[in-house]
Order: sequence, then C-alpha cells, then structure tokens
Amino acid sequence: MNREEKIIDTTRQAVPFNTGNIPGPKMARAVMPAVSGKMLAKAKRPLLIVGSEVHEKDVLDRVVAIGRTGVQIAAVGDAYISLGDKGLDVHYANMHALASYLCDARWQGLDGKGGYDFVTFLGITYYYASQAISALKNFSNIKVVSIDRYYHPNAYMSFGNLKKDVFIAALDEIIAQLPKK
Amino acid sequence: MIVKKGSFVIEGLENVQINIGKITETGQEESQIEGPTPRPEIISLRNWDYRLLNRYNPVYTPTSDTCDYCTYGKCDLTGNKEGACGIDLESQSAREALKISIMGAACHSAHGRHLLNYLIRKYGEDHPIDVGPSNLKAPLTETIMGFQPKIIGDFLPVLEYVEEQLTQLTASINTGQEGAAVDFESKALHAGMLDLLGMEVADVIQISCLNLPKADENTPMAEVGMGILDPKKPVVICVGHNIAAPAYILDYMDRDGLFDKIEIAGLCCTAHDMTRYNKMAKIIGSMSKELKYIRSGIPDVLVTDEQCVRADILKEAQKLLIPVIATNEKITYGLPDRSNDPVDAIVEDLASGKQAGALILDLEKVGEVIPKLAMKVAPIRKAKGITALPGDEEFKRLVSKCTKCLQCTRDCPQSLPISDAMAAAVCGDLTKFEVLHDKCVGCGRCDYSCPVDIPVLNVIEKASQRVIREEKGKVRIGRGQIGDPEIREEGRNLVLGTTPGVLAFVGCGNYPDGTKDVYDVVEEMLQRSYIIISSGCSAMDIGMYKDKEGKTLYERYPGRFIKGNLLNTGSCVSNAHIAATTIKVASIFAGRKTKGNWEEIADYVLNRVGAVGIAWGAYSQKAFAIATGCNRLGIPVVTGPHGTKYRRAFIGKPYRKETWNVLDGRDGSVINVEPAPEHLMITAETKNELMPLLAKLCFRPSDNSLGRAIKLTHYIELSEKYMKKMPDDWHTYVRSEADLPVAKREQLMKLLEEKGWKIDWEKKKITEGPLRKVDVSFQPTNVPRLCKEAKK
Repeated sequence: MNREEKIIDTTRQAVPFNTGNIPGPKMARAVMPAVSGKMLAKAKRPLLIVGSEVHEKDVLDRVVAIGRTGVQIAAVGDAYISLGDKGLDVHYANMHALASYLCDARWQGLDGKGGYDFVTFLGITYYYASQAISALKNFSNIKVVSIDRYYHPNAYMSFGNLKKDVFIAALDEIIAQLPKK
Repeated sequence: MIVKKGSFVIEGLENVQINIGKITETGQEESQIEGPTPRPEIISLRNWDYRLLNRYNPVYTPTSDTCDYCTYGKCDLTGNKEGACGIDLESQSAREALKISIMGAACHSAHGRHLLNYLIRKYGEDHPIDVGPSNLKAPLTETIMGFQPKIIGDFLPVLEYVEEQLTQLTASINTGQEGAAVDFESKALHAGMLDLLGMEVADVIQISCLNLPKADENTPMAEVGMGILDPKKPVVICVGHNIAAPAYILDYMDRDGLFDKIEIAGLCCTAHDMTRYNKMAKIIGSMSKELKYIRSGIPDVLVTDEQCVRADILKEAQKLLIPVIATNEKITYGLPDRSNDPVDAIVEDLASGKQAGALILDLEKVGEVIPKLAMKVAPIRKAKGITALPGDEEFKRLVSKCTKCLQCTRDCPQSLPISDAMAAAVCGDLTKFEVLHDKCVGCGRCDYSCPVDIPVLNVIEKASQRVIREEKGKVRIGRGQIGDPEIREEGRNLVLGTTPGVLAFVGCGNYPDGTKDVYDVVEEMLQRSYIIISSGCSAMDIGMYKDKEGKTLYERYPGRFIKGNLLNTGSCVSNAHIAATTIKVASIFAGRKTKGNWEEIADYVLNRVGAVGIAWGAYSQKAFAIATGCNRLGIPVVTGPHGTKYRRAFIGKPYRKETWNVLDGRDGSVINVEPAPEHLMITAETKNELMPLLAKLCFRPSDNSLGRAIKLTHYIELSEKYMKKMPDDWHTYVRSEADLPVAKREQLMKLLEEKGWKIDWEKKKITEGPLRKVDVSFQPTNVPRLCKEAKK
C-alpha cells in the first residue's frame, strides 16, 4: 500500500498531550486530516500560525507547501528564520500579541486586508500554543483547528497525539485538499 | 521635660504607666508629602491604572474555563459565559490575576514582617537605615507612603499599611464582591505595587541591620553551582529566602572557626543573602537544583526558612536520613516544636534518627544546633554512602526498562525527550542526559508518571555526574541598591536613550530551554552596552557559564550602574531596588518629587526610562506580583512562554492609533506617538524572539535622536541576527533622518522611500512620512494634571 492509499487516523489518542492540561467541559473534537484540509480550503480568510518547532525539514517542507497554496502564514516565535526566504505570504508575529489581536474584531490582519475567519496552527511550543488559543476559544468567534502533532483541547478541532510519520502523512493529506496554485 | 519613646511612671501616680510610641512633631509628616496620593487606598490610583489598561489591554489565556470558588459551582464559563454569581470568564481571569498578585505580595510582605519584628527585637526600633550613598534611602516607601524612613521602626506603619491593603484586596475577591475585569486588574496592579513596597522593607532593613553590602559595585565573588562543595566535609544546605536563621549559623561557624570544617551553602534566594552576610557562604543554585541536590545525598543537614521550599522536602530528606530543621512559622511540615529544648537533646534526637526533623523558632539555638548536628550526622551518613542516585549497574538496568511510552515527556513541564536519552544511555551514550540536566527544572513529575517505576530524575542526575562535577561558576555578591552617585552619572544617558536600556533579569528557573539561554541573552546585551541588572535565581544562572578563558560574565563585566555593566542586586526582595532605580532616575536626574507621588513618577518612567524586566523562567506567584508592580510603575516585563500560564498579559495594539496619544506637558497638546513601550507584559517563545523584543521595548517617546538611533541600531541588528529579517515596524520609530543609525542611514532612507516616504536626497532629509517630528523639548505625559496649562 503506498502513502496515498494508506488510511491515516488522526483521531486516536485525543487526550491533552500535557496530562494536566484539562481546561473544562468543552474540549476539541478529534478530526481527520481530510476534514481539516477541506475546512482550510473553504475558509474565506484563513491564517496558518507556525511556531518555533518548524525548523525540521520534513515539517518545514509541508508548511511551505501549504503556504504555496496561498494560505497566509503567521511565523511566531523564531519560525521566520526558516520561512522568511521561501517566497511565501509570511509575517512575523508574537504569538501572545497575535492571540490578543485575533480577539479584537477591529484588527485588520497581518497585511491590513481584514480579519480572519479560520485559524489553524502547528509547531508551536505545546503549552504556549495551548494557552494562547485558550484566548481565542473563549474571547473570539474564530474557528481554531489544530493541525499540530499533539492534541490541543482548547482548539475547536484537533488531531490526537500522533507519531511523527503519521503526523507527516496527515499534513500531506491536508495539502492534498488544498487548491493548487 | 524632654519626651522620649518608652514607658514612664509619674511620681505620685505609681499605678499609672504611660507608654509613648511614636512622636510626631506638628505638621512633620504632612510637610514631607509632595504628591496627591500618600498611602494610596485600593482605588486612589485607579485613574492611572485605567490609563495603562486602556493602552495595554489585558489579554486572558485561561488555564481553566470553570470557576469553583463557591458552592454554586462548578460553573462552566467557556466562551465567556456567566457563572451562577454573574461573573464571566474575563472577570474571573482578572480575579485570578488579582489573587496571584496578592499571594506574591503577601509572601514578600510577610517576609518583611518576619524580618522587621526580628530585627527590631534584636537592634531596636531606632536602628538607623543605612543603605549606602543614598539620599533616597527607600524610594518605593517615599513614593507610596509619602515619607522618608530614617530608622527601621519607621517601617512599622509601612507594613501595617501593606497588610491592611492586602486584606481589603483579598476581600474584593470573595464571591459577590468585585465583578468588573478592569477593576480586578486595577486592584491587581495595586497588589503588585504593595509587593514592591514589602520587598523594599525586607531588603532595606536587612541591609541596614545585618551590614549587607550597601550599594557596593565591587562586592566579592561567590562560588555557585552543584559542583562547588567538598562532599567529604559535613554539608549544611539552607533552603528558602529568609536570612534570619542562616545568619545565626554563619555567626556560630565564624566564631568557632568552622568554615574549614563544614561546607555551608544555600539553595534559592537564601543563598544570595547568606553570601551578602558572610562571603564564606556558597550558592548551589535555584529552586530547580533543590530536589536534584537533595537526591545527590550530599547535604547532611537541611535548614528551611520560607518561600521556594519544596512541599516534599521532609519526605525526600527522610529517605536519605537528612535531618530537616524548619526555622520559620510559615513552613512547619508537622515537625515537633523543639524551640524550648536543650541543644544537645535536639542534636541527639536528630542524629540518632529518632526524629526526622524539628521546628526551631529560637534562631540563636538554630545557630548552635546546625553545625553541631552536621558534625555529628555527617560521619554516619558518609560512612553509609547514602544517596538516591543509582549505582552503575542499577543505572543500566533502569534505562533498559524504558518502554518509550512518552508519559514522562507528557508530564514534564518542558516536554523533554527523556526516552531518547534513555535509549542512547542503553548504548552507553550519556550526552543526551547531560543536555537534559541543564534543561530539566528538577520538579520530579517524571518519577510519578513512569509506569515501570523508573526514578527518572535520579537517572538523569546519575548520568550527568560529569557535568555536575564541573558545575562551578561565580556570582558577584548582591550589592543592594544603586547608589545616588551612580544614578547622577548615568541618568541622563538613560533618559535620552544614549544608553540603549536597562534590562533586569530577574526571577526563577522555569526556563523553556535551559539556563544557558539566560547567559546567552545577557552576554549579547552586555556586548551591546545595555545595563544588565540581575537578582534572584536569574543572577545565579547568569554566573554558571564561562567563556573560553574560563571566566564568567561577572568576571568579565564590572558591576557599576553604567552601560555595559552587569550588576547583581541580590535576592528576590532585592528586586525592589531594581524598580526603585527608575524612581531614583526620575528624582535625581529629573528632579521629580517622590513623596506620595506615584502617578507622576510612574508616568515619567513609562515615557522616559528605557527599562525592561525579563523573568524568563518565572514560575511563582511572587514573580507575577513583582511584574505587575513593575507594570504599575511603567516598566514593561517579558516572561518566557510559561508566562502564558499566569493567564494574563498586558499587550499594546499598535494598530489602534488612538491609544498612543500622549500629552505634551508644555501646553497639553495631544501628540500621537510611536508605540513605545509597545507592551507592558508579554511573553516570547524563544531566546531568538526575545532579544529583538527587548531592544524594541526599550524605546521611549522621550528618546533624543542619538538615543533613538542607538536603540534602533540594536533593534534592527538583533532582529537581523536572530530572526533573519528587518523588523516589520522599524520605520515606526523613525521621526527624522537623525534617528537613523549613521552607518546605515542612506540604505535605510532608500527603504523608507520604498515604503512611500518622501526623501530630499540632495539635503539627505526625510520630508514626509514620520508619525511625528523630533522635538527635543517634548515633555510626554499621560496625566493631564501634569501639563503646565492644567497647573495654572
């Protein structure tokens, strides 16, 4: 069975990666990559947030591939180091400040062209991402879908905790759902 | 008759005793007050807080979406819903911020209270305050209380005020009290300010009475690290923050000439104050080393006082037959109170193992018990070779048991890749464990998580013995305050910006990626001539690493308050001096009145003093309270990514131009300025992101062109070096061509032209584009009453 045919199940192990990270009664629904890929593809104004754990080549290549479909990227932490020279629509942002801005309906986005209706993310220090998106979960109307390797309870939807190869395959499946440019 | 303090019996009235406490001459206290808010009540500075909160909006990142404070609950507040009492998640999060600030402030103030009562008993209320060459002996006290303390007894009403205010604040948290997030935050800022005051009391009185260094830029070096002690000697380790008990131990050892026979060192801030008290004392390190060092089995006696003491210290010590002596009412561990028992009886019971520890509140007795106990216990323990660390064969067996389930990684605060290190160790490679040793915060959660019962922390430490033996650094002993002469020399450079900024590295060791990051950042910023002030555990960690010539940063950079210097103020309560330095700049350099004048001073600091606090490994409620107090004083603070778990930050929004209006103090006109400083409390994910952020947060509206050019140089260079990009917003901070770094001026002007700015290339001038012009006489203020027009 080649990779395209292999069924990737990203809904297993849908428990917070940091054991004590139980926010409350509303936690993310486990999601398959095809679903999150379609949601990303259909979003009018999506934003992909990528953090400081993006520097490894296999993950970086997938982020670049998503970026090449036209999805705007917020490079938080020091992710810009690996993303800045790839010819993408990529902007540095501080994750904490970005969470604050995303909760503000008056904010016009990283490029000044308007706010976002859909946010997805990966590769941010786990607990840092989890805390930052708790702001979006509770104080914004934005749908946040995690495509990180780890289950994020504060997202609207999230993968479970994945092995590296499953994670990479899931990212490929997301990319497959996105329009080619 | 001359009236003095004390008790009097009047002749003929033998049954009447008159007690005279404090004598105040008519109008004396009132005449000292220079501002509108001496002894501010919980809403006295609300207007100032609102000004801050309007610009620096609270950002809430809840760790819990529920509230379980009262029996209506648990209430689900997800999505900012209201609970049964009517509180929503935003207000509940602000309430948490207040609660955390109160806890921190109470901790430092209670520390101050313990010391004050003790020092008054020992030295008397009339003992003079002496902190070195300072007219502003207690700047925070003056600014908050409205008077200058002269004797330690003058701090009695200060702590009474703090305690009363903290009670009022605590009351506001109760269900059915405060309900608005903005007012919870105003109260949190009040608690933070009280925290600074409590810390100042604690450190000023101990400096004055115990003869700790008094604004001394040339204090000697102390040894720091897990490898500095001779484990063959009896080893006494003091854990916590309060010098009272360790001082007696050091005195006893000094008197009896025991420093050659017994090793004595401290863990956490007690260690700093021990070295300030007696340079023979040594520093093991931060709280992150606590469990690691105990488990090594090296300590023969553990002495606890207060704060940052692990809750399981007695349990851990008991396993290794290390007696624990608790010396402070706040931490008693269920130990028997032996305060009134004879020394020899206590020593006998502890040395024989009859009792695991003792509570001794008679500190003089502590001073005698500890050395005697160490001498008696050490030979027994060392003969048995007691340690929690596994032997070589046991180590091999343990690492081979690992099933790579990753549960330890999931429970680890830093999500460390422990199983990878286990796998490498099976093949004889210990280097991965050695790397983990630095990144590990020593919490021991991994021990509990392992399903096959590997004592993970012990395994990490066993594997890291080589690096631990080499862990020997140097810290310049805490100096206390910054003296007035140093402020006079440097204040102008700070306010004009020609010294790029003061960076205060403070707080604990919960670093996201190890202690080395702090060293790296400090080294980079020292090379760029920032003034680096450190305190607490950060000050220890800065001294842990050496350059190729074997020198630590403290040995490479002097300790004066001038650009490119590295200062250590001392322990956690010495943080007060860092905040107070900004008050001194406002007072000494700018002649601002301090007494009872918080708002004006804070307004000055916010707009003119490029100081930033960095609590890269902040973990405790105390660190949050300090940060919040600094925020109310106009000082921005950056924490590491763990800081998001404090659940609240103060983040500015540069795109909301109206929030960046300030007034020109000369005529009250409104000026829209660049976002400077952009945030009051924020986090960064990595050290690479941290460095340019620090440079940016040093911008102030008052910078002159030379200063702005220097700050801009560092902001751009640090961003290019560590983030591989020009900062997106660098142009925001350009007001004229004179603000541009000379070496890059033409290149930057071309970039500005590309952004649509108009450049007169013949005159090499910017003709259109900047938000505002440079005006050397500009008097930025956020307080309308401080404008000259308003004063008329």
